[in-house]
Amino acid sequence: MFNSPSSYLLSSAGKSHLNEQPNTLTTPDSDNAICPVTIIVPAYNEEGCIADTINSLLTQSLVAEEIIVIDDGSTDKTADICRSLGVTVITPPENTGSKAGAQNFALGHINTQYTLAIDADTTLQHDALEKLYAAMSEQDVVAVCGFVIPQRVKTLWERGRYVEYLMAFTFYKEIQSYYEKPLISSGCFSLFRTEYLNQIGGWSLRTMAEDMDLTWTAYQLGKKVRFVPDAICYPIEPHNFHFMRKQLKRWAHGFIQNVKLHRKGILRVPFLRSIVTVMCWDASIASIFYLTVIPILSVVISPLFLLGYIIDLPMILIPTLVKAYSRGETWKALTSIPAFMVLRVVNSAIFLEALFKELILKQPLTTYEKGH
Amino acid sequence: MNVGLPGAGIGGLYYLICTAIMPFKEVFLTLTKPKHQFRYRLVFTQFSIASAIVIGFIFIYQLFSSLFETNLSLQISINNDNSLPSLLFPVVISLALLVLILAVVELSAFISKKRNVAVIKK
Repeated sequence: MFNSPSSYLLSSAGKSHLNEQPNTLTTPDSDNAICPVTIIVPAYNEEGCIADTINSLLTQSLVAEEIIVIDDGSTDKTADICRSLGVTVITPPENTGSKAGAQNFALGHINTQYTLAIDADTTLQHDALEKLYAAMSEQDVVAVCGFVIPQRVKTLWERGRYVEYLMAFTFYKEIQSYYEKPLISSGCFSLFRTEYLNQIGGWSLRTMAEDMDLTWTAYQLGKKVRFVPDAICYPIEPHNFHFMRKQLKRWAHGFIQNVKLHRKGILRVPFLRSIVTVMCWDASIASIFYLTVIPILSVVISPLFLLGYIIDLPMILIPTLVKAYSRGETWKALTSIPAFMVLRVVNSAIFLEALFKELILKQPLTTYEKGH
Repeated sequence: MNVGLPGAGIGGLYYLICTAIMPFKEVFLTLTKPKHQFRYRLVFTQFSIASAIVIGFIFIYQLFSSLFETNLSLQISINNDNSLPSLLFPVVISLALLVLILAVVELSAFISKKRNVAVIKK
Protein backbone atom coordinates (compact mmCIF):
# COMPACT_ATOMS: atom_id res chain seq x y z
CA MET A 1 0.00 0.00 0.00
CA PHE A 2 1.24 3.50 -0.80
CA ASN A 3 0.59 5.61 2.28
CA SER A 4 1.66 8.81 0.59
CA PRO A 5 2.18 10.10 -2.93
CA SER A 6 5.91 10.38 -2.11
CA SER A 7 6.16 6.70 -1.21
CA TYR A 8 4.24 5.91 -4.37
CA LEU A 9 6.68 7.94 -6.47
CA LEU A 10 9.63 6.14 -4.88
CA SER A 11 8.12 2.75 -5.72
CA SER A 12 8.73 0.98 -9.01
CA ALA A 13 5.20 1.79 -10.16
CA GLY A 14 5.69 5.45 -9.30
CA LYS A 15 9.05 5.63 -11.05
CA SER A 16 7.59 4.14 -14.18
CA HIS A 17 4.82 6.73 -13.94
CA LEU A 18 7.36 9.54 -13.75
CA ASN A 19 9.36 8.21 -16.67
CA GLU A 20 6.52 7.43 -18.98
CA GLN A 21 5.69 9.54 -21.99
CA PRO A 22 2.38 11.40 -22.21
CA ASN A 23 -0.61 9.57 -23.65
CA THR A 24 0.92 6.16 -23.02
CA LEU A 25 -1.09 3.85 -20.86
CA THR A 26 0.39 2.08 -17.89
CA THR A 27 -0.36 -1.53 -17.15
CA PRO A 28 -2.58 -2.05 -14.10
CA ASP A 29 -0.32 -2.53 -11.13
CA SER A 30 -0.10 -5.35 -8.67
CA ASP A 31 -2.94 -6.16 -6.28
CA ASN A 32 -1.37 -4.28 -3.39
CA ALA A 33 -1.27 -0.93 -5.22
CA ILE A 34 -3.81 0.57 -2.85
CA CYS A 35 -3.69 4.26 -2.04
CA PRO A 36 -5.27 6.11 0.91
CA VAL A 37 -8.04 7.55 -1.22
CA THR A 38 -11.80 7.42 -0.76
CA ILE A 39 -13.79 8.01 -3.92
CA ILE A 40 -17.13 9.71 -3.43
CA VAL A 41 -19.80 9.70 -6.11
CA PRO A 42 -22.90 11.82 -5.50
CA ALA A 43 -25.78 10.32 -7.45
CA TYR A 44 -29.39 11.18 -8.09
CA ASN A 45 -31.31 8.99 -10.54
CA GLU A 46 -28.23 7.89 -12.44
CA GLU A 47 -29.20 4.30 -13.28
CA GLY A 48 -28.34 4.87 -16.94
CA CYS A 49 -24.67 5.65 -16.40
CA ILE A 50 -23.61 4.83 -12.83
CA ALA A 51 -22.48 1.29 -13.70
CA ASP A 52 -19.97 2.62 -16.25
CA THR A 53 -18.66 5.09 -13.69
CA ILE A 54 -18.22 2.46 -10.97
CA ASN A 55 -16.62 0.00 -13.38
CA SER A 56 -14.08 2.60 -14.47
CA LEU A 57 -13.27 3.25 -10.80
CA LEU A 58 -12.90 -0.45 -10.04
CA THR A 59 -10.46 -0.94 -12.91
CA GLN A 60 -8.12 1.91 -12.00
CA SER A 61 -4.40 1.13 -12.02
CA LEU A 62 -4.20 2.46 -8.48
CA VAL A 63 -6.88 1.06 -6.19
CA ALA A 64 -8.76 3.36 -3.82
CA GLU A 65 -9.42 2.19 -0.28
CA GLU A 66 -13.13 2.74 -0.58
CA ILE A 67 -15.74 3.86 -3.09
CA ILE A 68 -18.78 5.54 -1.60
CA VAL A 69 -21.86 6.36 -3.63
CA ILE A 70 -24.15 8.92 -2.04
CA ASP A 71 -27.61 7.98 -3.20
CA ASP A 72 -29.27 11.36 -2.81
CA GLY A 73 -32.88 10.18 -2.75
CA SER A 74 -32.93 8.46 -6.14
CA THR A 75 -36.25 7.01 -7.23
CA ASP A 76 -34.69 4.63 -9.74
CA LYS A 77 -32.31 1.67 -9.37
CA THR A 78 -29.14 3.70 -8.79
CA ALA A 79 -28.51 2.29 -5.29
CA ASP A 80 -29.23 -1.32 -6.30
CA ILE A 81 -26.82 -1.14 -9.24
CA CYS A 82 -24.08 0.28 -7.02
CA ARG A 83 -24.55 -2.37 -4.33
CA SER A 84 -24.45 -5.12 -6.95
CA LEU A 85 -21.05 -3.78 -8.03
CA GLY A 86 -19.74 -4.07 -4.49
CA VAL A 87 -19.32 -0.42 -3.51
CA THR A 88 -20.56 1.29 -0.35
CA VAL A 89 -23.87 3.12 -0.70
CA ILE A 90 -24.92 5.75 1.83
CA THR A 91 -28.20 7.60 1.84
CA PRO A 92 -28.89 10.99 3.44
CA PRO A 93 -32.13 11.22 5.48
CA GLU A 94 -33.57 13.37 2.71
CA ASN A 95 -32.49 14.76 -0.67
CA THR A 96 -29.72 17.28 0.03
CA GLY A 97 -30.72 19.43 -2.94
CA SER A 98 -27.27 19.78 -4.48
CA LYS A 99 -24.14 17.93 -5.42
CA ALA A 100 -22.22 19.82 -2.76
CA GLY A 101 -24.79 18.78 -0.14
CA ALA A 102 -24.40 15.12 -1.03
CA GLN A 103 -20.59 15.39 -1.00
CA ASN A 104 -20.66 17.05 2.42
CA PHE A 105 -22.82 14.22 3.72
CA ALA A 106 -20.14 11.77 2.60
CA LEU A 107 -17.31 13.78 4.13
CA GLY A 108 -18.15 12.49 7.60
CA HIS A 109 -17.65 8.92 6.37
CA ILE A 110 -14.15 9.47 4.98
CA ASN A 111 -11.20 8.16 6.98
CA THR A 112 -8.49 8.39 4.33
CA GLN A 113 -5.93 11.09 3.72
CA TYR A 114 -7.28 11.90 0.26
CA THR A 115 -10.72 12.21 -1.29
CA LEU A 116 -11.52 11.84 -4.96
CA ALA A 117 -14.75 13.56 -5.96
CA ILE A 118 -16.24 12.40 -9.22
CA ASP A 119 -19.61 12.89 -10.88
CA ALA A 120 -21.89 9.91 -11.33
CA ASP A 121 -21.85 10.29 -15.10
CA THR A 122 -18.08 10.51 -15.42
CA THR A 123 -15.76 7.68 -16.36
CA LEU A 124 -11.99 7.75 -15.97
CA GLN A 125 -9.08 6.70 -18.11
CA HIS A 126 -7.67 3.65 -16.32
CA ASP A 127 -4.62 5.48 -14.93
CA ALA A 128 -6.33 8.79 -14.11
CA LEU A 129 -6.35 8.30 -10.33
CA GLU A 130 -2.72 7.18 -10.39
CA LYS A 131 -1.69 10.36 -12.17
CA LEU A 132 -3.64 12.66 -9.89
CA TYR A 133 -2.29 10.88 -6.83
CA ALA A 134 1.32 11.36 -7.97
CA ALA A 135 0.74 15.13 -8.17
CA MET A 136 -0.20 15.23 -4.48
CA SER A 137 3.41 14.66 -3.37
CA GLU A 138 3.91 18.36 -2.64
CA GLN A 139 2.65 19.21 0.85
CA ASP A 140 0.99 22.53 -0.07
CA VAL A 141 -1.07 20.99 -2.85
CA VAL A 142 -4.64 20.53 -1.62
CA ALA A 143 -6.42 19.77 -4.90
CA VAL A 144 -5.51 18.19 -8.22
CA CYS A 145 -7.66 18.10 -11.32
CA GLY A 146 -7.36 16.50 -14.72
CA PHE A 147 -8.26 16.90 -18.38
CA VAL A 148 -11.96 16.73 -19.21
CA ILE A 149 -13.25 15.36 -22.51
CA PRO A 150 -16.94 14.72 -23.21
CA GLN A 151 -17.84 11.04 -23.24
CA ARG A 152 -20.41 11.41 -26.00
CA VAL A 153 -19.91 13.73 -28.97
CA LYS A 154 -22.99 13.48 -31.15
CA THR A 155 -25.44 16.34 -30.76
CA LEU A 156 -24.74 19.98 -31.53
CA TRP A 157 -24.37 20.79 -27.83
CA GLU A 158 -22.04 17.90 -27.10
CA ARG A 159 -19.91 18.85 -30.09
CA GLY A 160 -19.74 22.46 -28.97
CA ARG A 161 -18.66 21.38 -25.52
CA TYR A 162 -16.11 18.99 -26.99
CA VAL A 163 -14.35 21.84 -28.82
CA GLU A 164 -14.64 24.11 -25.79
CA TYR A 165 -12.91 21.57 -23.55
CA LEU A 166 -10.18 20.68 -26.05
CA MET A 167 -9.38 24.35 -26.52
CA ALA A 168 -9.60 25.40 -22.87
CA PHE A 169 -7.70 22.45 -21.38
CA THR A 170 -5.00 22.45 -24.05
CA PHE A 171 -4.24 26.17 -23.99
CA TYR A 172 -5.86 28.19 -21.19
CA LYS A 173 -5.64 25.64 -18.42
CA GLU A 174 -2.04 24.72 -19.24
CA ILE A 175 -1.02 28.38 -18.98
CA GLN A 176 -2.98 28.81 -15.74
CA SER A 177 -1.22 25.71 -14.49
CA TYR A 178 2.21 27.01 -15.50
CA TYR A 179 1.56 30.13 -13.43
CA GLU A 180 0.33 27.82 -10.62
CA LYS A 181 -3.23 29.10 -10.64
CA PRO A 182 -5.63 26.77 -12.45
CA LEU A 183 -8.92 28.69 -12.37
CA ILE A 184 -10.95 25.72 -11.16
CA SER A 185 -10.30 22.27 -9.85
CA SER A 186 -13.11 20.71 -11.87
CA GLY A 187 -16.10 19.51 -9.90
CA CYS A 188 -16.54 16.45 -12.06
CA PHE A 189 -13.12 14.98 -11.26
CA SER A 190 -10.72 16.22 -8.58
CA LEU A 191 -8.55 14.74 -5.88
CA PHE A 192 -8.45 16.60 -2.55
CA ARG A 193 -6.52 16.45 0.67
CA THR A 194 -9.27 15.40 3.11
CA GLU A 195 -7.76 17.55 5.84
CA TYR A 196 -8.25 20.61 3.64
CA LEU A 197 -11.87 19.71 2.95
CA ASN A 198 -12.50 19.39 6.67
CA GLN A 199 -10.63 22.61 7.39
CA ILE A 200 -12.90 24.68 5.12
CA GLY A 201 -16.08 22.85 6.10
CA GLY A 202 -16.43 20.80 2.92
CA TRP A 203 -18.04 21.93 -0.30
CA SER A 204 -19.68 25.28 0.20
CA LEU A 205 -23.37 25.78 -0.52
CA ARG A 206 -23.09 29.57 -0.78
CA THR A 207 -22.59 29.64 -4.57
CA MET A 208 -23.76 27.62 -7.55
CA ALA A 209 -20.14 26.79 -8.47
CA GLU A 210 -18.78 25.06 -5.38
CA ASP A 211 -15.68 23.86 -7.24
CA MET A 212 -14.67 27.42 -8.09
CA ASP A 213 -15.37 28.54 -4.53
CA LEU A 214 -13.23 25.74 -3.15
CA THR A 215 -10.35 26.49 -5.53
CA TRP A 216 -10.30 30.22 -4.89
CA THR A 217 -10.51 29.64 -1.15
CA ALA A 218 -7.44 27.42 -1.39
CA TYR A 219 -5.41 30.17 -3.10
CA GLN A 220 -6.41 32.70 -0.47
CA LEU A 221 -5.19 30.29 2.21
CA GLY A 222 -1.83 30.04 0.46
CA LYS A 223 -2.47 26.50 -0.79
CA LYS A 224 -1.75 25.11 -4.23
CA VAL A 225 -3.91 23.46 -6.87
CA ARG A 226 -2.45 21.36 -9.66
CA PHE A 227 -3.64 20.43 -13.14
CA VAL A 228 -2.50 17.10 -14.57
CA PRO A 229 -3.29 17.05 -18.31
CA ASP A 230 -2.55 13.33 -18.68
CA ALA A 231 -5.22 12.36 -16.15
CA ILE A 232 -8.31 12.20 -18.31
CA CYS A 233 -11.97 11.93 -17.36
CA TYR A 234 -14.99 11.58 -19.60
CA PRO A 235 -18.23 13.14 -18.33
CA ILE A 236 -21.56 13.00 -20.12
CA GLU A 237 -22.36 16.53 -21.22
CA PRO A 238 -25.82 18.05 -21.77
CA HIS A 239 -27.17 16.64 -25.01
CA ASN A 240 -29.93 19.15 -25.71
CA PHE A 241 -30.66 22.84 -25.27
CA HIS A 242 -32.89 22.30 -22.26
CA PHE A 243 -30.14 20.72 -20.17
CA MET A 244 -27.34 22.83 -21.62
CA ARG A 245 -29.21 26.00 -20.68
CA LYS A 246 -29.58 24.77 -17.11
CA GLN A 247 -25.89 23.99 -16.83
CA LEU A 248 -24.71 27.24 -18.42
CA LYS A 249 -27.09 29.19 -16.22
CA ARG A 250 -25.68 27.51 -13.12
CA TRP A 251 -22.10 28.15 -14.23
CA ALA A 252 -22.74 31.81 -15.13
CA HIS A 253 -24.52 32.53 -11.84
CA GLY A 254 -21.87 30.56 -9.99
CA PHE A 255 -19.06 32.59 -11.54
CA ILE A 256 -20.71 35.91 -10.71
CA GLN A 257 -21.49 34.76 -7.17
CA ASN A 258 -17.88 33.71 -6.67
CA VAL A 259 -16.53 37.00 -7.99
CA LYS A 260 -18.84 38.85 -5.59
CA LEU A 261 -17.88 36.61 -2.71
CA HIS A 262 -14.11 36.53 -3.26
CA ARG A 263 -13.51 39.91 -4.90
CA LYS A 264 -11.44 41.24 -2.01
CA GLY A 265 -9.68 37.95 -1.33
CA ILE A 266 -8.55 37.27 -4.88
CA LEU A 267 -7.02 40.76 -5.10
CA ARG A 268 -4.30 39.30 -2.90
CA VAL A 269 -3.62 36.46 -5.35
CA PRO A 270 -1.41 37.45 -8.31
CA PHE A 271 -2.34 36.00 -11.71
CA LEU A 272 -5.71 34.80 -10.40
CA ARG A 273 -6.88 38.40 -10.06
CA SER A 274 -5.76 39.07 -13.64
CA ILE A 275 -7.43 36.07 -15.23
CA VAL A 276 -10.66 36.66 -13.33
CA THR A 277 -10.70 40.31 -14.41
CA VAL A 278 -10.11 39.63 -18.10
CA MET A 279 -12.69 36.85 -17.89
CA CYS A 280 -15.21 39.29 -16.40
CA TRP A 281 -14.49 41.76 -19.18
CA ASP A 282 -14.81 39.22 -21.95
CA ALA A 283 -17.91 37.63 -20.48
CA SER A 284 -19.72 40.96 -20.08
CA ILE A 285 -18.42 43.75 -22.34
CA ALA A 286 -17.26 41.49 -25.18
CA SER A 287 -20.56 39.58 -24.99
CA ILE A 288 -22.55 42.81 -25.37
CA PHE A 289 -20.42 43.72 -28.39
CA TYR A 290 -20.81 40.22 -29.77
CA LEU A 291 -24.57 40.11 -29.39
CA THR A 292 -25.42 43.69 -30.39
CA VAL A 293 -22.74 45.58 -32.33
CA ILE A 294 -21.92 42.82 -34.81
CA PRO A 295 -25.57 42.09 -35.75
CA ILE A 296 -26.33 45.83 -36.05
CA LEU A 297 -23.34 46.48 -38.31
CA SER A 298 -24.18 43.45 -40.39
CA VAL A 299 -27.73 44.74 -40.95
CA VAL A 300 -26.95 48.44 -41.31
CA ILE A 301 -23.72 48.29 -43.32
CA SER A 302 -22.99 44.85 -44.71
CA PRO A 303 -23.42 41.15 -43.90
CA LEU A 304 -19.65 40.97 -44.15
CA PHE A 305 -19.53 42.19 -40.57
CA LEU A 306 -20.82 38.74 -39.58
CA LEU A 307 -17.24 37.65 -40.17
CA GLY A 308 -16.64 39.22 -36.77
CA TYR A 309 -18.04 36.03 -35.28
CA ILE A 310 -15.13 34.04 -36.63
CA ILE A 311 -12.37 36.63 -36.35
CA ASP A 312 -10.84 34.72 -33.42
CA LEU A 313 -10.95 31.41 -35.26
CA PRO A 314 -7.19 30.75 -34.84
CA MET A 315 -7.57 31.04 -31.07
CA ILE A 316 -10.15 28.25 -31.15
CA LEU A 317 -8.94 26.14 -34.02
CA ILE A 318 -5.25 25.73 -33.22
CA PRO A 319 -5.33 24.46 -29.60
CA THR A 320 -8.34 22.30 -30.47
CA LEU A 321 -6.64 20.68 -33.43
CA VAL A 322 -3.37 20.18 -31.57
CA LYS A 323 -5.14 18.07 -28.96
CA ALA A 324 -7.54 16.44 -31.42
CA TYR A 325 -4.64 15.39 -33.65
CA SER A 326 -2.82 13.75 -30.76
CA ARG A 327 -6.01 11.80 -30.01
CA GLY A 328 -6.64 10.88 -33.65
CA GLU A 329 -9.83 12.94 -33.67
CA THR A 330 -8.96 15.71 -36.12
CA TRP A 331 -11.99 15.27 -38.33
CA LYS A 332 -14.36 15.08 -35.36
CA ALA A 333 -12.91 18.32 -34.00
CA LEU A 334 -13.02 20.12 -37.33
CA THR A 335 -16.65 19.23 -37.93
CA SER A 336 -17.52 20.28 -34.39
CA ILE A 337 -16.17 23.85 -34.69
CA PRO A 338 -19.49 25.31 -35.98
CA ALA A 339 -21.26 23.79 -32.99
CA PHE A 340 -18.88 25.62 -30.68
CA MET A 341 -19.71 28.91 -32.41
CA VAL A 342 -23.38 28.29 -31.64
CA LEU A 343 -22.63 27.26 -28.08
CA ARG A 344 -20.69 30.39 -27.27
CA VAL A 345 -23.42 32.68 -28.60
CA VAL A 346 -25.82 30.91 -26.24
CA ASN A 347 -23.21 31.04 -23.49
CA SER A 348 -22.83 34.82 -23.91
CA ALA A 349 -26.57 35.45 -23.83
CA ILE A 350 -27.01 33.31 -20.73
CA PHE A 351 -24.12 35.06 -18.99
CA LEU A 352 -25.60 38.50 -19.67
CA GLU A 353 -28.97 37.31 -18.37
CA ALA A 354 -27.28 35.98 -15.23
CA LEU A 355 -25.37 39.24 -14.79
CA PHE A 356 -28.59 41.23 -15.05
CA LYS A 357 -30.36 39.02 -12.52
CA GLU A 358 -27.50 38.85 -10.03
CA LEU A 359 -26.38 42.50 -10.10
CA ILE A 360 -29.36 44.57 -11.25
CA LEU A 361 -32.43 42.61 -10.14
CA LYS A 362 -30.62 41.15 -7.12
CA GLN A 363 -32.12 37.75 -7.86
CA PRO A 364 -29.35 35.25 -7.16
CA LEU A 365 -29.77 31.70 -8.35
CA THR A 366 -30.16 29.52 -5.29
CA THR A 367 -31.71 26.33 -6.60
CA TYR A 368 -29.40 23.65 -7.93
CA GLU A 369 -30.74 22.14 -11.13
CA LYS A 370 -29.00 19.19 -12.69
CA GLY A 371 -27.45 19.96 -16.06
CA HIS A 372 -28.21 16.52 -17.46
CA MET B 1 -16.08 25.56 -16.97
CA ASN B 2 -16.18 28.63 -19.16
CA VAL B 3 -18.50 31.60 -19.00
CA GLY B 4 -19.28 34.18 -21.65
CA LEU B 5 -17.10 34.14 -24.71
CA PRO B 6 -14.25 31.64 -24.56
CA GLY B 7 -11.79 32.49 -27.29
CA ALA B 8 -12.70 36.06 -28.08
CA GLY B 9 -11.68 39.31 -26.49
CA ILE B 10 -8.73 40.55 -24.51
CA GLY B 11 -8.64 37.30 -22.53
CA GLY B 12 -7.14 35.57 -25.54
CA LEU B 13 -4.56 38.31 -25.89
CA TYR B 14 -3.72 38.04 -22.21
CA TYR B 15 -3.03 34.32 -22.52
CA LEU B 16 -0.88 34.91 -25.61
CA ILE B 17 1.24 37.38 -23.67
CA CYS B 18 1.50 34.97 -20.74
CA THR B 19 2.76 32.34 -23.15
CA ALA B 20 5.31 34.72 -24.67
CA ILE B 21 6.70 35.34 -21.18
CA MET B 22 7.00 31.63 -20.37
CA PRO B 23 10.38 30.90 -22.05
CA PHE B 24 12.00 33.92 -20.37
CA LYS B 25 10.53 33.01 -17.01
CA GLU B 26 11.74 29.46 -17.43
CA VAL B 27 15.28 30.57 -18.28
CA PHE B 28 15.25 32.91 -15.27
CA LEU B 29 14.05 30.13 -12.95
CA THR B 30 16.65 27.72 -14.30
CA LEU B 31 19.43 30.23 -13.72
CA THR B 32 18.33 31.39 -10.29
CA LYS B 33 16.95 28.21 -8.73
CA PRO B 34 19.44 25.33 -8.73
CA LYS B 35 16.78 22.64 -8.32
CA HIS B 36 14.51 23.99 -11.05
CA GLN B 37 14.15 21.79 -14.11
CA PHE B 38 13.48 23.54 -17.41
CA ARG B 39 10.00 22.47 -18.53
CA TYR B 40 10.92 22.15 -22.20
CA ARG B 41 7.88 20.20 -23.30
CA LEU B 42 5.28 22.45 -21.74
CA VAL B 43 6.97 25.71 -22.74
CA PHE B 44 7.69 24.55 -26.27
CA THR B 45 4.15 23.25 -26.82
CA GLN B 46 2.43 26.35 -25.50
CA PHE B 47 4.82 28.69 -27.28
CA SER B 48 4.27 26.84 -30.56
CA ILE B 49 0.49 27.00 -30.14
CA ALA B 50 0.65 30.71 -29.36
CA SER B 51 2.91 31.38 -32.36
CA ALA B 52 0.56 29.48 -34.65
CA ILE B 53 -2.37 31.49 -33.27
CA VAL B 54 -0.57 34.77 -34.00
CA ILE B 55 0.23 33.65 -37.56
CA GLY B 56 -3.41 32.60 -37.95
CA PHE B 57 -4.56 36.03 -36.81
CA ILE B 58 -2.30 37.77 -39.32
CA PHE B 59 -3.70 35.59 -42.09
CA ILE B 60 -7.32 36.20 -41.02
CA TYR B 61 -6.70 39.92 -40.76
CA GLN B 62 -5.22 40.08 -44.26
CA LEU B 63 -8.09 38.02 -45.63
CA PHE B 64 -10.81 40.09 -44.00
CA SER B 65 -9.11 43.35 -44.92
CA SER B 66 -9.03 42.42 -48.57
CA LEU B 67 -12.66 41.23 -48.44
CA PHE B 68 -13.85 44.48 -46.91
CA GLU B 69 -11.83 46.69 -49.20
CA THR B 70 -12.94 44.79 -52.29
CA ASN B 71 -16.62 44.54 -51.47
CA LEU B 72 -17.30 47.67 -49.47
CA SER B 73 -14.54 50.01 -50.48
CA LEU B 74 -14.05 50.45 -46.77
CA GLN B 75 -10.75 51.73 -45.53
CA ILE B 76 -10.48 49.76 -42.34
CA SER B 77 -6.79 50.23 -41.91
CA ILE B 78 -4.92 53.40 -41.07
CA ASN B 79 -3.00 53.32 -44.29
CA ASN B 80 -4.65 51.95 -47.35
CA ASP B 81 -2.30 49.04 -47.56
CA ASN B 82 -1.37 45.99 -45.53
CA SER B 83 1.78 47.42 -44.07
CA LEU B 84 2.90 46.52 -40.59
CA PRO B 85 1.54 49.67 -38.84
CA SER B 86 -1.97 49.08 -40.22
CA LEU B 87 -1.78 45.45 -39.21
CA LEU B 88 -0.74 46.37 -35.71
CA PHE B 89 -3.43 49.02 -35.18
CA PRO B 90 -6.20 46.72 -33.82
CA VAL B 91 -3.64 44.84 -31.77
CA VAL B 92 -2.37 48.06 -30.22
CA ILE B 93 -5.92 49.12 -29.33
CA SER B 94 -6.65 45.74 -27.69
CA LEU B 95 -3.29 45.77 -25.96
CA ALA B 96 -3.87 49.26 -24.60
CA LEU B 97 -7.24 48.18 -23.26
CA LEU B 98 -5.72 45.10 -21.66
CA VAL B 99 -2.91 47.11 -20.06
CA LEU B 100 -5.43 49.62 -18.72
CA ILE B 101 -7.61 46.89 -17.19
CA LEU B 102 -4.65 45.09 -15.65
CA ALA B 103 -3.28 48.38 -14.31
CA VAL B 104 -6.60 49.06 -12.58
CA VAL B 105 -6.55 45.57 -11.04
CA GLU B 106 -2.97 45.93 -9.83
CA LEU B 107 -3.73 49.37 -8.41
CA SER B 108 -6.78 47.95 -6.60
CA ALA B 109 -4.63 45.14 -5.23
CA PHE B 110 -2.03 47.65 -4.05
CA ILE B 111 -4.63 49.86 -2.32
CA SER B 112 -6.25 46.81 -0.74
CA LYS B 113 -2.88 45.66 0.60
CA LYS B 114 -2.10 49.10 2.01
CA ARG B 115 -5.48 49.24 3.71
CA ASN B 116 -4.96 45.82 5.27
CA VAL B 117 -1.55 46.86 6.56
CA ALA B 118 -3.08 50.03 8.02
CA VAL B 119 -5.84 48.04 9.73
CA ILE B 120 -3.30 45.59 11.20
CA LYS B 121 -1.14 48.49 12.49
CA LYS B 122 -4.16 50.07 14.21
